[in-house]
Amino acid sequence: MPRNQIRSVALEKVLASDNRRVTPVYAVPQLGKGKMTIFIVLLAGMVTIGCLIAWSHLQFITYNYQISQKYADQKELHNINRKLKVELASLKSLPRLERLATETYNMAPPEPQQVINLK
Amino acid sequence: MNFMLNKWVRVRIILVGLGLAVFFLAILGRIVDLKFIKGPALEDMALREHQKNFPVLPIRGSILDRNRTELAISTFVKSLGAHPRRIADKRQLSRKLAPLIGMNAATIQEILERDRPFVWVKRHLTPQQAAAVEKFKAELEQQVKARGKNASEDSDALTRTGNAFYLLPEARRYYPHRTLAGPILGFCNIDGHGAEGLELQYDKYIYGKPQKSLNILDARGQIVISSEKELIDQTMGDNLILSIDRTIQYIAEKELEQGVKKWHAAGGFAVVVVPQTGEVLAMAQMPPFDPNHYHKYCKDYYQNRNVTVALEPGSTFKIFTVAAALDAKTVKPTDPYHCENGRFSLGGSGVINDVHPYGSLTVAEIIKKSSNIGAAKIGLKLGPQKTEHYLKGFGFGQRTGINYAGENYGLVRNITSTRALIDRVTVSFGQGITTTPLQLAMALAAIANDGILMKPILVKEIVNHQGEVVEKYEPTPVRQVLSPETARIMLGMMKSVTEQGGTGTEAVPPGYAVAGKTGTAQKVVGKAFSKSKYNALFIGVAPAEKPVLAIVVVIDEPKGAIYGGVVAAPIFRGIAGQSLKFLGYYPQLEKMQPPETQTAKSSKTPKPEAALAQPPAPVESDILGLPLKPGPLKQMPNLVGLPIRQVLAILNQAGIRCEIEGRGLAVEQRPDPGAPLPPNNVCYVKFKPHS
Repeated sequence: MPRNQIRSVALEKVLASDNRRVTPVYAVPQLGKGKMTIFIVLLAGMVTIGCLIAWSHLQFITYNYQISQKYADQKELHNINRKLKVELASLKSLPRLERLATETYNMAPPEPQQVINLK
Repeated sequence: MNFMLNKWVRVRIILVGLGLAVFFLAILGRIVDLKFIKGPALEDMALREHQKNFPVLPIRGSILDRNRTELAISTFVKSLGAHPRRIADKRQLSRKLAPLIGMNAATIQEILERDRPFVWVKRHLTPQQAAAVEKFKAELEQQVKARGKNASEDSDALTRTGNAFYLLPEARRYYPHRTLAGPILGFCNIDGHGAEGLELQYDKYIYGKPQKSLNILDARGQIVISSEKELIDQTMGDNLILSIDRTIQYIAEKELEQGVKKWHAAGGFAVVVVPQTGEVLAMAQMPPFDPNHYHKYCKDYYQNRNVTVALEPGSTFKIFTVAAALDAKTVKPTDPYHCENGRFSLGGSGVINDVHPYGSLTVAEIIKKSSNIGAAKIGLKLGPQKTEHYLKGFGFGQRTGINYAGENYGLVRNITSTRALIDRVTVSFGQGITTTPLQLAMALAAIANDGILMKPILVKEIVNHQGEVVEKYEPTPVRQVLSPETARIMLGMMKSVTEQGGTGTEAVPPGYAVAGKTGTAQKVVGKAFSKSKYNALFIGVAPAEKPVLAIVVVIDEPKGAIYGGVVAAPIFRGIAGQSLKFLGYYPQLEKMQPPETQTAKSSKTPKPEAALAQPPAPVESDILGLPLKPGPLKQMPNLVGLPIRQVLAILNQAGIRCEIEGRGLAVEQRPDPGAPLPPNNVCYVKFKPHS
């Protein structure tokens, strides 16, 4: 006797008594082929939409990470820019420029007759 | 195919269905429980985990000069903070941090021993120090990882120590020009709030507003969503744009410093104002003050004493007495006054002396020679009511409205009710009255502005970080003090002061005319005038014909000489000459002869104004003194071997424009030497360094 047949017999013995009458059978409602197709399409659609929602959410988070990162970079660049402004202003300070001109490059203010007003 | 099921199968299906229904109901119930019953509490818990408020530090606005050059600017630096209660071995940590942040280990330990939840170990670290601390923290973390789970106690202590100190960003104020305009700008305290000067006065505009941004964090604590960007407009402070010109400020400070050093003086002041608008171009004072290191100075240094200190104006005040008398038509410029040969007794009230004995002097000569007795007699003739009226008109004894904290009123006695005659009379020549250098400059500017007193402007605009104007301060006339005619006459008299025979000849920069007045004031020490301490003053406008600058120079306690014409006038000359050139008012060559020659020439010239209008004499020689061929060039000269300046001089005289490449000496030119001049009057010259 095949193994699965023994199992079904055993199950029958457990669940149903020997003197149980076989009752009339009922028809199981069946889905038509068309309806089944619609059902599958709907199911696939729902799954797709679910995936899209999950993907968009993931993208949303990813972009937010990127925005935060870029914003942090921007802040850092702004700070560097401010530091460079300080440095530039220090380098362009008039006492320094005058010292460079007179001591390093031996320059001197022009005599009045040396000035040519080009207008 | 039809599937037929028996009753038992149906029961079983129903049972399974019921089981599933119960299962799903349980899930639904749990959902309802989590979402609606415990929902709000759980939501709060989640928000606490994921959403956090982060402080958004305000960024202090910059202070810029009139040409938008930064005078004060803020940037973020790192500060080292710690939670002392979390540190296991404070001594060891102090020893390790000490060399990194340049502090004494004992000092650090003393800070870490404090029983507080949070302490600042050191604020405003240098970038190198911050990098060293970050590296040290990273090393600690690596040690924790390396020890792993076995050495649990040690690694736990290390982890706690590593988390107990950290670097925090803080804004720091920088003044890149150091002492330049230091007392005007003031400074900020370590928390970034204005503590003195303009930093304090306009703190509400510059500081910005600290905000809190709501950030959503992930499980690692990284920011996923931040609202910080939306808060930028509120956190950024506004920028101040001053009327100060940093170049003129530098000129004023440099000349003043040289003068103070030369005369071994205790200090000095200089104010430069545009008479027509009241804009303050420079306010210099000595000793200087560097706001970057404000903690090294005492209060006297960092106050803007041009505004906060009042001093006696001395003889410079005579111009206001005479201007008042002329405007009130009490005197005429040609009216003679006898100056009592240098000693004028007021009966029992007192005696007035002149430095030099004078006989009869006209009103104009009283100004030129600076006679105290003459000025006293004019003041007596004007009377106390009118004197007081004009003194108020010039703004003495009142605030100028410059909008600067701690502005001094100056002291003007109620001369209408003063009993002692001497007290009423001495005001005429600047004794018994005090003014700030700024008040003096504004009153002087009124004479140079057709008699209209202007409100001083130090801050021209306040703009936000996007450059939009928040507030604008336009030139505001206060009142008409003198008639334009009186103002013009006064300028003529003041001009005579700087001419031959006047007391202020040293104040004239070559090529310009100056209208001014010297002054020497005894300082008040205790309750009496000092016989050894003086203030030397020179106030004047330049050019005299059409003033563009009104300048006040005061030297405090000069040694070796005390007179304004000797001590302060040369400083005025330096400031006026350089500032006018910088502003594009070039010296006129015919005025550059020695004073003797100039006087002789002017006596022959019927209208000096007409002579001034003549164009400058043509340049007859090049810069190096090499003679040039007179007349226009017809062909290209040989420029090879000449320096840039000489080439420019030759070509400029010939009316040829030049494209220059390189530096040094000319090595190549187009067109070639001897070729006809280019039709478009443009030539090309290439230069190379000497080597």
